[in-house]
Amino acid sequence: MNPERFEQDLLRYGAEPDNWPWLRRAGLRRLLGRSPEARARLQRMRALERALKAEPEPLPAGLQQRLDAIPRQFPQQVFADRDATAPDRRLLRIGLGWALACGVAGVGIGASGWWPAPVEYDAAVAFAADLAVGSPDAWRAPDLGGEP
Amino acid sequence: MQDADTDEVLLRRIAGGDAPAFRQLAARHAPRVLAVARRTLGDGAEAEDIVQEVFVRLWQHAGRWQPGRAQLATWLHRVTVNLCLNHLQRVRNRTEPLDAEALEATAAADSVEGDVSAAERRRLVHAAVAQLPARQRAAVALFYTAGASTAEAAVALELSVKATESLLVRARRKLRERLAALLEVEP
Repeated sequence: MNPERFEQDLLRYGAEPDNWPWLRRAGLRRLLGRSPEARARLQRMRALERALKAEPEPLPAGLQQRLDAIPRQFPQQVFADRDATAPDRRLLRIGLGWALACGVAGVGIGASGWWPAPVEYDAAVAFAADLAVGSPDAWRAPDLGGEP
Repeated sequence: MQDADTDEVLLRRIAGGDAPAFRQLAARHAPRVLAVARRTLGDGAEAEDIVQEVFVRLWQHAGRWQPGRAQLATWLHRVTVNLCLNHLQRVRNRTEPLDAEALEATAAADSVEGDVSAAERRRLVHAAVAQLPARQRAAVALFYTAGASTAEAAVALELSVKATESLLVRARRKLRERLAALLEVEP
């Protein structure tokens, strides 16, 4: 690791070698072993980080009282019912949106005459009815031959 | 510590309106949330308002908490930083972090000689951080004050890990320059 790379990584990952990518740690150790300047830079960064890591102080009394008063002052919101049904409602909204869009498109296409009526209209209606409710023929088990 | 005292168990109790559980959870997390808010805002009174707002949301929305999706501390720090950055956005024209006190303290940090008391050191560091841009302050607060990893800080800041690393690089570079004299006399 050269000094320029060390400087970049020191700023990027800080002075704690555990925060460095493990592939760079060996190079870091070698550089620190041979360079007093690198060791000094690492020490300065470590001092900076120690200064930034000050432990939190106890809460001021006024803030403690304000936090203690929250359950009395603010009503809770109940989310259980809404959360349980939220995905279903979202799907319902999406479905209704699609249905509405398809309906509008169908009316538009029909009114424009762009989509021709089928020549064998009766046969098509009968086929659609079969699809919807099934025909007695469709319920019959297929004849596979052989002994029953 | 008993299992009944974990954050998740307390949150379930809070969702049922359990005020003592709320106070227990606040006592556990509020000091660090306050430290993050102070460091991000650089202002004690505003930071306390932010902490109150964070815990009001926790109390009101505990019923929406989904166990296993995130650590409570991560959620708290995310909300804290968001509220702080929104607040700074609102008052940016009115209050710049480069106030006279911060400038004076930085000038003092430039000429530190000999021993520096712990309180004075904290003040100088706080003033130097206060001069950073808001997002850099937030990144520093999350990484150093909250003890978050870069990835966790990225989640809280709603940035990529690379962008968060970049914030930390710039913050460290500036702080090292501004606090150079202080760091030289580090015992």
